[in-house]
Amino acid sequence: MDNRDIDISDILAEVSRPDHHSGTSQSHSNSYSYSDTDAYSDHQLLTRAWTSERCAPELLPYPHDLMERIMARVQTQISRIEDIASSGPEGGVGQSNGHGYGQGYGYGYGYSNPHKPPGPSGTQNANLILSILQTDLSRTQFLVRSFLRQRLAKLTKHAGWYLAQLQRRQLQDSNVGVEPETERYLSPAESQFLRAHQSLLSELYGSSFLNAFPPTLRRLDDSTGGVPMVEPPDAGAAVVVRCLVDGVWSNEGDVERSESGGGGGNDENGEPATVELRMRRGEVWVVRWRDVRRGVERGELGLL
Amino acid sequence: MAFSNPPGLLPTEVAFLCEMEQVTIVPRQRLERLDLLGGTTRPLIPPQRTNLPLWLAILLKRQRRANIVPPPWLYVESLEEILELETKHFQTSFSLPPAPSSVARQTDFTGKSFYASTPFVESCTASAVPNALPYHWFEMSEMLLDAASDDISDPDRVRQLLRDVREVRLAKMRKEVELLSGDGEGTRLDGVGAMELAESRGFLTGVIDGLRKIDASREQARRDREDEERENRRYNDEDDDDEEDNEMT
Amino acid sequence: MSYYDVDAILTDSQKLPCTFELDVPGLGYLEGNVGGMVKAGTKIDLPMWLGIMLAVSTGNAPDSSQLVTLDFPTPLQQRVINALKADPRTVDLRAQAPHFYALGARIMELFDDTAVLDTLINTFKMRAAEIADQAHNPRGALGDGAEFLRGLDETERQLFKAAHEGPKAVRAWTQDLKKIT
Repeated sequence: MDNRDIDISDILAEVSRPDHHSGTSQSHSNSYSYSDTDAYSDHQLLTRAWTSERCAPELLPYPHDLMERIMARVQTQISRIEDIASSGPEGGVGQSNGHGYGQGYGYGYGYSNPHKPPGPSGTQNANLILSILQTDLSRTQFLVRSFLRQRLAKLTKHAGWYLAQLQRRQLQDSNVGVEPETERYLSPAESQFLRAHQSLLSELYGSSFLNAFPPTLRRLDDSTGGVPMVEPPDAGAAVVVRCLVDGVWSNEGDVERSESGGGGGNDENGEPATVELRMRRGEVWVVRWRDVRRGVERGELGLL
Repeated sequence: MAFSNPPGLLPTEVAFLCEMEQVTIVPRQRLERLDLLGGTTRPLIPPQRTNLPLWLAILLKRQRRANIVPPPWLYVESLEEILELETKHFQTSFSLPPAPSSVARQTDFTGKSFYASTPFVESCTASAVPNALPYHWFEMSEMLLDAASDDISDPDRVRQLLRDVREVRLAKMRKEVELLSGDGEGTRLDGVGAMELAESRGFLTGVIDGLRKIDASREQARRDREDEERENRRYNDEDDDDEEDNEMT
Repeated sequence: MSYYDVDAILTDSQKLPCTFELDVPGLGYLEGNVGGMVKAGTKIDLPMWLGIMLAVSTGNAPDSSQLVTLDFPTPLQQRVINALKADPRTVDLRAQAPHFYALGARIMELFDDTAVLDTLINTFKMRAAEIADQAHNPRGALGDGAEFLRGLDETERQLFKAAHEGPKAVRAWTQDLKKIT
């Protein structure tokens, strides 16, 4: 199915490219080979991550690896576009940019092809290609930006709650004597943002009016008055999902696990499922978020 | 606030998603294969039909570099059949969307498998099913009629039929309200369209959440009872196991 | 976030009839009798947050009863419930209480009354269907339509807004599409 001709310049380009990869990939020979399927499947996953984040009432786990790959690809694409744009629309061989990129990737663009005559059709095509690449790039950038902005909005809305969760997770890690893992739910930038945001806000409240209150009424996380000051996002909110798996999907396991108290607890994993649901592939249901959260995180259900 | 929209996609975002759906084009000019962030496109070799994402198809169409082949459901005969289905055969629910294809499992970069979903499941190419409305039917038809009405046969009649279909489905959506409940057992909306969902989501979830709040205390009492029953059943099962063990020895 | 939610705060400030079970000195100001005592058996309308606090407090003696017992507020008393059972769409909920359903939900937490609960749920659903119809077919600013809309409580107003905004956003998108060409 993959009818890409293996060109010696492609192979050379791959070998000479600096390896950004953190080394956690299993198949090292595949690292950043940008094979057709990977870009497409990553694009699907990014689209799904965006849709899910836009539709879920809670913050979803941050897809670290996916974002790393996407950002790397975006960077590469930006360089490529700059190369094409700056070298002018004539194309042609003499325009060497000194990168491995031009050689390897120019293959498909009539760019490094020495037989393509420069001229009106060459110019038009190069402009067309440029505008296609740029449109494609800005579409991906839109997805990434909207995704990150949606996450920031959720973090800001329930900052006290997410900060408490973050601190609890880190405390657990250090209690067990383990090096703090890569934070699963937040990106490093988001963790930093969360801390800074709450700290600045507390300072503002304090200096504006809180410090003038009686000492016992200065807290922002007091739960003693019946209504807690720090509330989680509404996990019972209605969401729309579509079942993606074959056969019958059920959240029985999630409901039971939560009762026996094992693993479905309230801290890191959020509120447990309470209503048992069953669905077949293709069905669309309006249900409560907490009853399908696990299903969505496992990719068995898609948020609409 | 960074982003003050309520949960759920806006109409513009639904359209953005729809632009990723594959459609069939007939190229009028050659174009090399392109490595896009959204995946690699096939080379365009006139007059071979090729599938491309809608946004790219429209871009090419606007520059007269290609013609778009309307999906089989965007024909007068197909829409008439669909309207018939919506009115006579599916009176309370939406007509069936195209059946999910069997080839939906893919693997990602790390080798983990995932299930493909809209808009990455072909339903608007020339090989789509003619008598089922796909998930993105509304925005797809709007965008095609807008950019490529000359590629569509009898576009005015098509527009009229689409309006009729929409009216029928809208009435069904409103009737759904009576079936909603706040108990979390769920409501089915099989066959609903993406734009239709964006349109009605705010109202639907508002009703469900409102009902849920009124019923909250009763539901809590019911949950407590159910949990107790489940606990009791578990103890009884354990007792039975013990008895069996005793009998065996 | 109901701690900071203005609607929740307003709901809790709605009044409930509270019957004092004990003589309580010093609270006379609640009935306009500053410095005086409130005698057992007195019934005063107090804000819900205060009434609940008093209802869960008991007197100083070991087996003394709770300080007050609570009753249904006017908007949820039998007269209104009967009207809702007859035809939910003709009742002016807003005049009863601007946060009618929020009040109802709170009261259902305090009192276990299935009949009232079922009426509330049915009322909500029927009026919601009417709201959907009105948003789709506005009967104009005059006549029945306007009267019904004036009688919507806060929750219903949000619903009406949602029922209206959705189609509006879709229309806006459809129209913008034509402009781009």
